[in-house]
Order: sequence, then structure tokens, then C-alpha cells
Amino acid sequence: MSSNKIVLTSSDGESFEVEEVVARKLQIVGHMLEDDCVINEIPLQNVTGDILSMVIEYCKTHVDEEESEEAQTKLKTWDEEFMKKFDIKTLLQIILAANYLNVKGLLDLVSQTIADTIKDYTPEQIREVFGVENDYTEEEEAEVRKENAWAFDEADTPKP
Amino acid sequence: MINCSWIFVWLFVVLVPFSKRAWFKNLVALLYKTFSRKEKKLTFLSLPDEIILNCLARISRSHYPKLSLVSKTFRSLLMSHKLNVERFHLKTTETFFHVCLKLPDRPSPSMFTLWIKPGQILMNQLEKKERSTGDTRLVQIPSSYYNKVPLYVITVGSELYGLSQRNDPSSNMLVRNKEFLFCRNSPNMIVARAKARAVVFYGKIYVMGGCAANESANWGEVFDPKTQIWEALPDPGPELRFSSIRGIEVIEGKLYIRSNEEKDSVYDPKEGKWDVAKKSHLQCMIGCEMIEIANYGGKLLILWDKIGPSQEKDIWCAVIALEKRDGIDEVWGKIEWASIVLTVPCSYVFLYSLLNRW
Repeated sequence: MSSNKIVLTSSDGESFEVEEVVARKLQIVGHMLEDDCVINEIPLQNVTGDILSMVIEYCKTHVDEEESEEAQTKLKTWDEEFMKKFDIKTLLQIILAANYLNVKGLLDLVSQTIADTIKDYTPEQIREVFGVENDYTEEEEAEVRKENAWAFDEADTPKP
Repeated sequence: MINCSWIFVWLFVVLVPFSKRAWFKNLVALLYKTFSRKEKKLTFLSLPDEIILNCLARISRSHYPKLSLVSKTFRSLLMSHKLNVERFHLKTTETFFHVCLKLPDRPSPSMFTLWIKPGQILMNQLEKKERSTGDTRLVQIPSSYYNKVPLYVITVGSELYGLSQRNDPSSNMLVRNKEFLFCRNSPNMIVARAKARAVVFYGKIYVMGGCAANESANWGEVFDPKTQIWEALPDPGPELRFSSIRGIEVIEGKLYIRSNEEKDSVYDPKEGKWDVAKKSHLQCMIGCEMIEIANYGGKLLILWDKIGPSQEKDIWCAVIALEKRDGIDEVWGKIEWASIVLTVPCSYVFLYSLLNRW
């Protein structure tokens, strides 16, 4: 394993020295290294230091993904705990960063976390927490509520 | 430079008297908002489309009725074709069970999809006195749960063929490879059909019923994917030209056509001959008139009807998990839930059921 160090610099000028194997988990970095192997400092324009440090933490943990069931379970538990640390606002920033830096595992993990949150929230909570503007007019919203009333009616025999 | 300074001094002197007025404050605030390069707030819908779809495609469609209330933009994303594509790539497509019913107050048949309310503990209500809670129901298509008329899908090798189940006849048959979502038209059927049924036998697709025109010559036809040619089947005769088919099954080299009429029929593809068949092997022992079974994602689904308290018919549904006990040739079933999924007028007709993944 190469112990070559690479410095990743965030948009706000924070620098992180990581091993090349960790840096390569960021596919954007992997591609740069393939194009020109003498780079040892890489500026990352679209991600701030605080978010980059989270991404690096994820990559360090996932650097050698073992096949064994035990290792997989351990990683899964770590992933769950890792996701619990963040509020939705931070998760949105991380998912954006994971997309830009092209870290597939992290992208999937955050997407799943967001999906699980959305599915458990009420429409009002989704609007508030995810900053979704309600662009229905009052009439339109009443219409959609009526159309979907069957999904919320309790103790009623379904009729066509 | 000097000119500039004088302009500012002049502006200051002129504008100070207005500084406490509300309209002035508003104006300043507006100018500030317009010209300050304030960073745009990061919200879910401000993420790139591919990320939004990646998140939404991971949520079961059973949540979509609730989610469609969030906002108009949200709803149109949930209904979009892009989301279907994303589900296909993420392998988050789900199994749907549909039924086609003819209701007495409507001129054309209607389709419904089985919806199970997410996050509920479902019960076996067979032995209970109280009526359904509405946690499982047949929901009419289109809805925010299932928003288009499903295709009747037949698999031949790695190709999927789709027949329209709309009420208006069409001779179109779609085809796509299992690995891709892109559909193309396969050669048209000889006649246009509505809600035709089909079956695969020795690599050929036998399509029957739903004829719009020239019924006697084209009641059934067969497509050979190798030669890409449709050929008409012999005429089964007026008695066996059913107007409504429940399903077709292959049993011991023959095609059995289950109709919604008094008789069933059987076609022998080798001899090219039709015959009357004994009415369905599946009989209802619990005093119902309709019974249908299906493989619902590896579980046994049973649907039947029963006259309810107010002289209407209740359509019941049960989902049963099957388990093979090791050592013995026995299959055990555990009723996961059973409840009324729809109540319909007594004179309704059950036409057929349909399963698909979407």
C-alpha cells in the first residue's frame, strides 16, 4: 500500500493531509491522479473545510472495504452512527459534496438517510425541515388532499 | 473623485429626512436584498435533480399519496418518468397487484391497485366482527400511488413484451430488453385489441380476446419473436369467442382459457384445435362467487368476494407467507393479513387481475 500523502484544500482554504488511498476514495481526486501522477496538493473548489473533513472521515473508515460479513456489519453500524451526528442542513451539504467529489458510497448512504427521514415525516415537517416551499394555491392543495383522502381515512370501508 | 464625494453628500442631505419613513426603509431593504450577494439557502429542492431523484426513488411508492401533498414541484417529481428510470437503475421497483372490474354505474371497466398503508400492523380480520380499517385497499388508477394504466407483460427469454390494458383497442405491442428501460414497438398485431390476455408457449406469444373488428377471423393470434410474424389462430367458434378472459394457462402442452363466462376453453397448438374445457379448477369453498390467486412477491395472495351487511359485495384480500417445513413434503401458510379491500355494488363483474413490477 502506498503511504504517499496528498494535501486536499477546501474552498475556504483549510488543508487536510491524507494518505493517497484515502484521497483516491474521492473519485474526482482519483481521476486527477491518473491524469498526472505528480500532484500532491489538490484544491477542491466546491466544498468547505467543515464538510470536507466529514467526507474524509467517511473515506478513512471505508478505505479498505473487507468482504467478510463481520467487517461489513461493523461498517454498517459505523455508518448508522455517523449519520446520526448530522442535522438535515448538514446532510444536504454532505450529499452535495459527495456528489461533487464523487464518493459513491457516501452518496448512497446520505440519500438513504434522507429518504428514510422523508418517508417518516408529515408533509408539514418535510416543508419545514427540508425548506420545501409549498407552491400549491389553496384550491390546488384542497384538490390534492381530496384526491388522496383515501390514504388518510381511518376506519372506513374502501369504496371505488 | 471630488464630484463623486459631492454627490454622496448631496444624497445624504436630501435623503435623511425620509430615513424614518416606512416606504424608504422598505426601499432600502429591497435594494439591499437585490444587490447583496447573499448565499442562496440550501434546500432539498435546490439540490441537483439527480440527487433529488436518487433520494425519492428509495422511498416506497406506498408513501407517495402523503408525499404528493408537500408541494406542487414535489408532486410533479413523484409523478415523473425520470423517477421511474431512477428506480429501475437503483433496483427499487416494487411489485403491484392490479384488478380490473366492471362496475354497473360505469360504461367501461376500471382498474384498481392494491395499496397497503405503510407503517401499520396489519391484522387478520377474518374472524373479527368489525369492518375494515382502510389500511389495505384497492385504489383506482390513476392515483398518486400508481398513475398510469399498467401493461400486461409477457416474458420471452430476455425480452419483455407489453400489451396495453386500456379500454380503447390498440394493435400495438411494446418490447424491451430486461436490462434496459427503453421500449420499442414490435410488429403490430393483425387486429386491434383492448385488454387482451396472452401466454408464452414454446417461445411464441399467444394473444387472445379483446378484438375490435372481424372477430371470427382473428379472435386469437400468435407471434413468433424469431420470425417477427403474427399469424391468426383458427376460429374457436361463436360459443368460445369469449368477450372477457380471466387468464390463460399452459397445462400439459395445451392452452387453457379461463373466461368470465359460463364455459372455459382449451386450445391444442399442435393440432390447431379448440375444445370446451371444464370450468376452472379453482373453486371457492367459502360461499363466494369470485376467487383469484396470485404470486404477490413470493407470497400467496387470495382475493374473493362476499355479500356484506348492506347488500353490497365486500372484496376480501389475504396475503399468506408460505414455508416449506424441512423433512416433510408440506407447505405451511401463515396469514399475514386479511381484510376487506373494496366494497362494490352486487352486480359488479370481476374481469381479471394483473401483476407487474414498477
